This record gives sequence, C-alpha cells and structure tokens, in this order.
Amino acid sequence: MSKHLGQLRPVYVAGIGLHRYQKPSDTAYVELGLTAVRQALDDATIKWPDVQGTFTGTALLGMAASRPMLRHLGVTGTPMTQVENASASGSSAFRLACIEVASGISDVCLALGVDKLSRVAPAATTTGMRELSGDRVIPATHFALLANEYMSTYGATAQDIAGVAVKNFANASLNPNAQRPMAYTLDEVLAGPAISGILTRLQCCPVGEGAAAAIVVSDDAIDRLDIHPARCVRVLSSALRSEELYGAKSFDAELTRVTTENAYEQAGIGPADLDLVELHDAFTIEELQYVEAMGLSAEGKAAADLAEGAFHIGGRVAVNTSGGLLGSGHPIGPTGIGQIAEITRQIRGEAGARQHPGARTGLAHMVGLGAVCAVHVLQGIPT
Amino acid sequence: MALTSVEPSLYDVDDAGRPTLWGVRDDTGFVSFPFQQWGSERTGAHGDDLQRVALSGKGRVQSVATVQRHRNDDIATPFTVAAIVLDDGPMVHGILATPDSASAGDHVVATTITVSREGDQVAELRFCVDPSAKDRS
Repeated sequence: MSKHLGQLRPVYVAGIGLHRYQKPSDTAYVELGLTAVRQALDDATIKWPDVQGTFTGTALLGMAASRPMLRHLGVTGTPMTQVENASASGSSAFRLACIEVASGISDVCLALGVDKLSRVAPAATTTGMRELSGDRVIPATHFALLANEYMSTYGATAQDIAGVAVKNFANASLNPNAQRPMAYTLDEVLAGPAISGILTRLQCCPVGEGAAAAIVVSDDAIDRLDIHPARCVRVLSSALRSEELYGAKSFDAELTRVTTENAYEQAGIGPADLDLVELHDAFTIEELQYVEAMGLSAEGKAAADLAEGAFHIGGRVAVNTSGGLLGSGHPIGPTGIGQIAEITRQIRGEAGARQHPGARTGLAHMVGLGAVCAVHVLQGIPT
Repeated sequence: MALTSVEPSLYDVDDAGRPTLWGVRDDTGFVSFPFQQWGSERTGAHGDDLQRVALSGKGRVQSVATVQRHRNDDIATPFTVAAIVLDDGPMVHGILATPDSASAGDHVVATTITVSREGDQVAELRFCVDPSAKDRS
C-alpha cells in the first residue's frame, strides 16, 4: 500500500541559505550555489561530510551541474542528482530530499536550487506537434487572458489585480535577498510599459539568477549532530501533481486546487490553519486565482480580501512575505527552495521587518511548465 | 490562385481561403485539437482507434489579450489573442483578424489572411466575429 510523507518518519528543515537573486551577471553558477550551500550548512550547524544525499534543482544550467560545484566543499562521494521540473525544479528537488530522509535512506540531505539565465527550449517545442498560434502566445499573454476572464466573470478591475504587485513589492523592499527590493505605488505599477492585456512590466516577474539551499534532517540526525531542535521546522506534507483535463477552466488554478487539497489532507490541516503562503506569482493575476483555489478566499473574492489587507503581513494569512516571484525574483531552479527558506525564517521568528506575527504553519506552492504543481506544508515544532 | 495553409498539419484551406481545422476524436467521443495519433489524453487510445475529424471553426470567446510587446522582434505588435472554446469542444488560442475586434462572450469563426512566406503567398489562420452568430445565441 502506498504512503505519503506524513506517514513516514518525521523530516525537518534544519538549515537554509541563499545567494541573493539578481539580474543576469558574470557570476559563475558555482559561486551562486556554494554561497547558498555554505550558508545552509552553517545555519544547520553541521559539516559537509554529514550530508548523505544531494538533489540540485536546475532547469537552465545543462547536463551534470552538481559535481563541478559541490566538489569544492570537499569530495565525499555523496550521491548527487540533478532535478528538472521547469519552474518547479527546486520544489521537486526539495520533495525528493524530504522523501529520502523520511523513508530512512538518509538522515541528512541537501536540497539546492541554482540557475543562470540561458535559452533552453521546452521539450514540447520539439515534439513535431504544432501549436495553433505558434510562438505568439508567451506566458505573459497566457496570464493576461486569465486576467481578462477573471475581470469579466467577477467584475474585478485592472487596479484590483495590480494591487498584488503593490503588496509584494512592499514586502520585497524589506527583503535583502530580493532581486527588486523597491516599493511601488499603484500608479507606478499601472504606468507600464504594457506587455499583454492589462499586465504591465511590474506585473510580470523578472528573469535573473541565484541560488537557495535547504538542509533536510531526521530526528536521528538532530540528536546525533547536536542540531538545535528549536530551529528545526517540520515538513508535514509534500504533494506533486501534473495537469489533467479540466474543460475550459484555468488549468493552473484547477491543478493548484487538486494539489493543495492533497497537501492539506496529508498534513491533516485545512486552509484556516495556514499563517503564511509563498505562492507562484510570476504574474499578478496568479496570486488571486491561487488563493481562491487554495480555499483562502471565496471564488471571485480574492481581490476584495487583498484590498482589505487579508494577505498583508499582519493580516489573516500573509501571502508572499518574501516579495514573491514578482518582487523577490524567479531564477527558476532556486525559487521553490527560496520559498522554503522564507517560510522557515518566518516560523523561526527571524524575518525581521517582514515578520508575520504568530507564523507557525506555512504553505509553499509552485507551478511549472507542463503543467505540474508542487505544494509543501511546513510547521514549527511546539517547544 | 490556389492558396496553401501556413500550418498544413493544423488546418487546410480551400481555393477561397476558407479554413478547415483538423481535430481528433477518441473512442469515447472526446474531441481535441490538433489531430495526432500518439494518443488520447482522456483514454490513451492511439493509432487507428483515433478518428480525424473536421472542426466547424466556430466558437465562443472566453477571454482576450492584446499583445503590446513580444520578445521576438520579428513578430509585429499589437495583435490580439483570444481564448476560444470551439463548438466542437476544444479550447484554442487564436489570433483575431483585427486587434481588439472581439470580447469575451462573442461568437467567432475561423478565417484566413494572406501572408508572404519565403516569396510564396500562403493562408494564415485568424478568427473574426461570426456574422451569423445572432442566429446561434
């Protein structure tokens, strides 16, 4: 009989590390990755030889990215696997690291995400099966269509949707690791340039590079390696699903709905138990669609809830305290693990100016081209 | 002069430039676009168990978005993309014949425009508001 993560032995995030997300630069991916890994090891108060398995999430670096980077920590023969799942690469690497520890194969695993911008064509473009509108429909247009549908169905305005960017840039301005750490007014967000439909430049996430790392451990490792249990955050659930047939409904939203319900069930919680969420807001409309799909807002009410402050730091459930993909950035491989780092920081009470009061239970959500969706629920351990 | 389709694997055009979109029907009656024989997303039926079907080319606009900036400099802007639920079932992303010429809820029909590709005049698919739609609503 198959099992889920919650039915295996407990697994915890014990250490986190980041290289700031930034515009494309000459920084080698090795430097990006090593910065994040060393920070995570120090944060967990363990040494590199303690790591028994590594999963590196990367969509753009090319074949065999792990060893040219990780060998500089000292060669130990530790297993190395690269994980590619488009934008969900980091989340998928994290999932595999958790499963390896929860299953008992390892006590300590590294989940790392690292990427630098490069042109990698999706495999779907090589199937020989043509798309009706060819390469005219870029991601910004796909989500501009969803925004148009949301507006005509629920009466939301362009200003309502742009409000997501205002909130997330305000959060990013408090995040030293964010790629766009600057607050913008609503007028500035709406001012353009227009990209597609109602989506202006500041309503679309930037391209960039960076790295994020998480050390995942078992109870045995906490005891054996003298890791401080008060700084460990339990991973209650891990759910990963791929797109099904939803008729004319938004597949991103429906896939999120199914995957989140799966994650809630595994964790034994419901949406009312969440204190914070890091979700895939590559485009502003996504945040509104996904909070509804997650059960955090009634259908069509997300814009009103946002305007009332429900998703702000200090609100009912803080969404994207890091700044999200819009403000913090979306370097692809690192993004999902960066979400884990932010939730961990919040639960530990170490988020500084962007601390959400009482943060104990958080949800991390990413969608990837395909489409796939990965959701993890994390919770602080009672002291 | 007879026109040829820019995308013959997706649609044919007759001498007058009228397009026929080709879809695929599986053994449950599920229709998808475009035609392929690798397998039905609903049942996995493949090969001769799939039927090539001509779609009506008519549908209803679910949403629109006008593209102002495109990462490919060879693609001229603005142009309007419409998410269209075809009467036969599948949803497609089509380009409107004229930017901003349709809105959510409008009935549209497939048509073509003549474009030049490598010195040849070929027919490229577009959608326009269906003049017979008031009889269908």
